[in-house]
Amino acid sequence: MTLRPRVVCRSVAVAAVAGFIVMPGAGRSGLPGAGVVLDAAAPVPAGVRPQDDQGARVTRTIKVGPHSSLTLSNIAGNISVTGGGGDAIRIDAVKHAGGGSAARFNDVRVDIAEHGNRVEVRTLPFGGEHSSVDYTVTVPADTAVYLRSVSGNVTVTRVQGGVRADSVSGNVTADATAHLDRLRSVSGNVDIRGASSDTDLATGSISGRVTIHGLKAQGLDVSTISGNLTLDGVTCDHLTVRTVSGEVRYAGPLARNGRYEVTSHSGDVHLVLTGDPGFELNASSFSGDITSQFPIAMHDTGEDHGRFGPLRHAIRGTYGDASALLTIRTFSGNITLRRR
Amino acid sequence: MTGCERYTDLIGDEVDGTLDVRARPDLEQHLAACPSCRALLADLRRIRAAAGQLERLEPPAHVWPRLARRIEAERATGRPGGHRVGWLGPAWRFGLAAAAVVAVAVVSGWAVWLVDHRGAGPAVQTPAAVSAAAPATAAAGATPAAVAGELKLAAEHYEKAIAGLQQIARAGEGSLDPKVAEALQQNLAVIDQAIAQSRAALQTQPASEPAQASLLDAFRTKVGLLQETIELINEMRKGNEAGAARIVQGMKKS
Repeated sequence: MTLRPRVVCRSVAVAAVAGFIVMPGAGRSGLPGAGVVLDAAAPVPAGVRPQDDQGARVTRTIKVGPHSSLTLSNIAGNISVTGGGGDAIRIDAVKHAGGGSAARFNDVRVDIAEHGNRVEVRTLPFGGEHSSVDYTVTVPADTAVYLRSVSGNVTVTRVQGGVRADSVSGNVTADATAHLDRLRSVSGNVDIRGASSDTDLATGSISGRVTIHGLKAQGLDVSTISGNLTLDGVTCDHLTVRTVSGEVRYAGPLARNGRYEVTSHSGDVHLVLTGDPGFELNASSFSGDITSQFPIAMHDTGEDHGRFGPLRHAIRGTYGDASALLTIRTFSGNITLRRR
Repeated sequence: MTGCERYTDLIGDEVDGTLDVRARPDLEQHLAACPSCRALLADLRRIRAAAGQLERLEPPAHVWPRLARRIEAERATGRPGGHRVGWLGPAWRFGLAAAAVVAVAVVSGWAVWLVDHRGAGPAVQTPAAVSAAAPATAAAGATPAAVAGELKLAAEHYEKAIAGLQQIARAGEGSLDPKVAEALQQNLAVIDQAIAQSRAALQTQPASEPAQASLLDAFRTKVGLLQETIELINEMRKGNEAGAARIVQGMKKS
């Protein structure tokens, strides 16, 4: 097999790469904005037998310095990134090509580019159907990762650098990550477990559910249109939750002087507060019921106490030292405040 | 197709009519050789033309100071204040963006104005402000009739902005995976239902704050989702991810 190193612009769909194989450590071109693709003379890499639903594997190990970054854009297929020790980013890409012919593998191309301490990986646009690439990547713990997928799940585990992950129709999951910045999906679910963010985290889905179990963040902005939202063990100074028809379940403490705003049209809102939170409550609904286990010192309440007309259901008042501000508004969803 | 990324801004300038004459030969040479960028240029011109049909909305003069402050604050923080399910990053490079954002900014301005006048804006309130909201509102002289009138006007502006955005979104809907397009449509229907319910509530109780707030929220959410849809369409096209939707569809069949 003859290998021919070829420099290509990172952002361009590479013209007709007949087969694809990458040599570990061969990527350092030293040219800003350039990547290296090694063409194989044979159509399929050695040692890989293209078969139905069996992938041709491409691996690459790239040594990086501290605080490196990885950008990975995929079209179809899953992405899994795990942080660990070491000083290298290891990329394991498995192509799946339906149809069983060797030529199908050639439809699927991967571009890996290095820019100093930054690594960019892309699945190049391809015309074949039934094709996808699954990526399994390990990175040094402090690497920042930016992941995008059109169709496919994105999973990030134990990454301590910044994390942004988006998918159109796949699920997005972050587990034990330290600097979450943004996780979003259009129709997939978003799951966050045991994570933290030293800034404001924005997350949500349009139709998928959002589930957070254990999160420390300065601020949290969560939104869905129809997906349910479960926030359990969330600690943050300011929280914004918005949904149209999703149900909101929040269980956790309120920070002193924290700001919490929950807006839902028809979804119910359930808050289970831990500790002994003092808060000012401004809860209102057009037709939903409002119930609270906390003895609220009312400012005003109930029928005919709206500023401009009847509020069928509203509570405005304080509990404890009123240090946190809690604003909840629904149209028809019920609002419930309970102690844990 | 080579070096497309460095021509992206030039294509945007061409669409906006601000292309430097010195850059034109280079761009034209590239366009002659690159069908993808030619398609992008054609798409953007079409989208710009559609966006140009959006009616220019003029809020009352007293809205502008708040709107200006709001826009300035958003520019400073980089965080839009409205309900925007933003996940795709800055795709608003072209004329499409300009027209749509102007429309949205105007209607957002209306919402800010209404919220400020009604003291129902929790995002900008302190606990003390909440307690003081009612007298402050009374001092502002916002009578129920005035609020209802302003709400009606805001709703009209939202509807116009939404109609323009829907036109743009429909024009590019074919770029999306059918399943994703279906999910987006279903969620637009959820919002439409919220709008209908809020309207019905306001018919029986025109002064209901929760109903007024829900209507504005639903409008704002719909604008956000339409923006999101257009950004998604742009993203799919920008990367010339030709066949991506087909592939997604094909995978689901397999």
